[in-house]
Amino acid sequence: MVAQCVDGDVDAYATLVRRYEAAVYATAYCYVGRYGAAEDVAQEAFFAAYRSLPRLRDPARFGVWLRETTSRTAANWLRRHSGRLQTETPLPSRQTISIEDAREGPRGLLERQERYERVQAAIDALPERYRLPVVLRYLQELSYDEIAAFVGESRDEVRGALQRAGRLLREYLKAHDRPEEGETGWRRVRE
Amino acid sequence: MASCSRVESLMQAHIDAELSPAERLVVEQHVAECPQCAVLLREFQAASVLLFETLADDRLPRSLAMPVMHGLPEMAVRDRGDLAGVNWRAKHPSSRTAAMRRRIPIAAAVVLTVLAVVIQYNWPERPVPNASAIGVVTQVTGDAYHAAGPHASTGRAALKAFIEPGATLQTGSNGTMMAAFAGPTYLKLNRNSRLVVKNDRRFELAHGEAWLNVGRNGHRFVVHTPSGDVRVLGTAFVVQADATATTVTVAEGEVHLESAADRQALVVVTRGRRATISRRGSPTAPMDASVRTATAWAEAIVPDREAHTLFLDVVQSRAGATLELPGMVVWRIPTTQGDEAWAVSALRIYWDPTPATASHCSYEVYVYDGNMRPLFRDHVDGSVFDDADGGFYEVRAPAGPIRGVNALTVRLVPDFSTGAVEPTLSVKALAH
Repeated sequence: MVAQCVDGDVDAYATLVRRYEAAVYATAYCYVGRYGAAEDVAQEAFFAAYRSLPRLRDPARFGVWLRETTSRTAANWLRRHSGRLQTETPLPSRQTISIEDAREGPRGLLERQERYERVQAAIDALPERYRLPVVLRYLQELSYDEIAAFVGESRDEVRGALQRAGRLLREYLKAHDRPEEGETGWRRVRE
Repeated sequence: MASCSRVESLMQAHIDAELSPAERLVVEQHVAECPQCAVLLREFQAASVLLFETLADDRLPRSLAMPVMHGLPEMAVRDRGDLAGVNWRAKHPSSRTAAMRRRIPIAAAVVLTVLAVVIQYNWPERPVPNASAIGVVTQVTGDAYHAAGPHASTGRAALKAFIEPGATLQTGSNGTMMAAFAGPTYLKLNRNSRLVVKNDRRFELAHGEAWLNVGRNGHRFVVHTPSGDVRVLGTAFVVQADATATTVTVAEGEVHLESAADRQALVVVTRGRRATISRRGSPTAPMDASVRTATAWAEAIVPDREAHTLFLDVVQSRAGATLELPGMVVWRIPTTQGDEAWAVSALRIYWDPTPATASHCSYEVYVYDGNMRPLFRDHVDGSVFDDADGGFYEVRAPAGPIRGVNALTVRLVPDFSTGAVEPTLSVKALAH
């Protein structure tokens, strides 16, 4: 499949996009999710990957290579927008609400928002090496094998990482059952 | 029996259904006999469920394959002219050295980008996304018409046509149509109807019947009819209007039905209810109604898949990400003069003179610094706004003047359980 893409087969590339989009999106989300830019960065990463496909040495490691490309794309995005992210009005915060949610009433919505911020804070508190596997698992529900192929580790390493991360998340969420005032740093905004 | 620490090390994988059958048995047997580990497992599960559920809102909303493939210059060319050049390398796999092979696709991409631009300019049929488009026609049956603007001539409505502010949509005696607007808001128009799209949050139904499913994006959504306005609070409903009366049936959420003749006459119509307003009178009290009967005609209209995809890609992708809490109002107030940040002792929430003298919603007030770090919160009771002449309400910073921040962000989140009328608000900061 990868070889076909290197040979200029665009249909094969569409198949690869479908296969890896969840993982690429989740990776982008790790870096720029708080700015509401995960989808844009994921698209950019696929463009960048397509352009540099001919430089891919080992097609068997396409997943790992794609993750590196995505990280680079996200880092570039952050650099490009660093000035704006510091100064611009971070409004409005993004919150998709279904009709079911709306029935909870405003107080329910606030609780949701607080819960959201608490979960993001718990993920942010993880050691960096655990964050991507956690987001791949909980955001896009990837299997351990899929995560392993994407982060370039063995299945056992992924299992160990998620076990330790699970313990830390459990402890954090238990300790922060009620959100503390002044701790809500996580927000999503849009360009 | 396996040790507790061994079992604990398997718990996350157990929840993720990633254990071998033998390991699973180890965990299950142990947990059945060890109450401490059973509690621990439940905590692991609770944390996992919380993470899954909370992150569900952020999950990739749609496949990226379409936008990515459309964004590749090679694809644009292939779509247009089926140029053989795209697969040139595939057809000449062994005719070059390896070094050349690595360079060619880059060169090809550059050449094709240029071609793609040229071809796009010479390809008028291709729907060029207009920056001002706020919607797309996603289904048409029978006689249906579309005028692009207030002075534009009316033509037959075309599937995938972009809709701009000021457009008129009209159906004949055997026609229906569907359109999607930024928000997203979905509109279905029954036979013999005429609707003017003022903008993506404001429609005018001159006559006929419209089904609407309105996305919440924090802005008020209004359908004007000759007899009065239907103000939407995020919801699905059917409006029927003629010259003398307007009836609204609500399938989900709730709407306000506001009289055109009497600015104070207003009813709130909730899910499964219906209310009517005549041109010269007050709205009737809402009564139970069969939503199924009222929406049967609309159920029969489904969007064309390609037209809907076009809407998602062109219109909604631009606007769709600005969704926020319903009715939430947000201000950012700079608190610097030159390079100096001044101290803020209080905030004043002003409301405009209002026709309603009761049933205002109350607000939770959230105050953050410029980096969205919370400073304090407060509550404003809805009765404060009942003074019809307008006025202000002062919220003092509880811990004394706020110093050293260069901006304040103030969010007012309405609580509609205390009242349904939103006053028109503005906020000022007072210097210490």
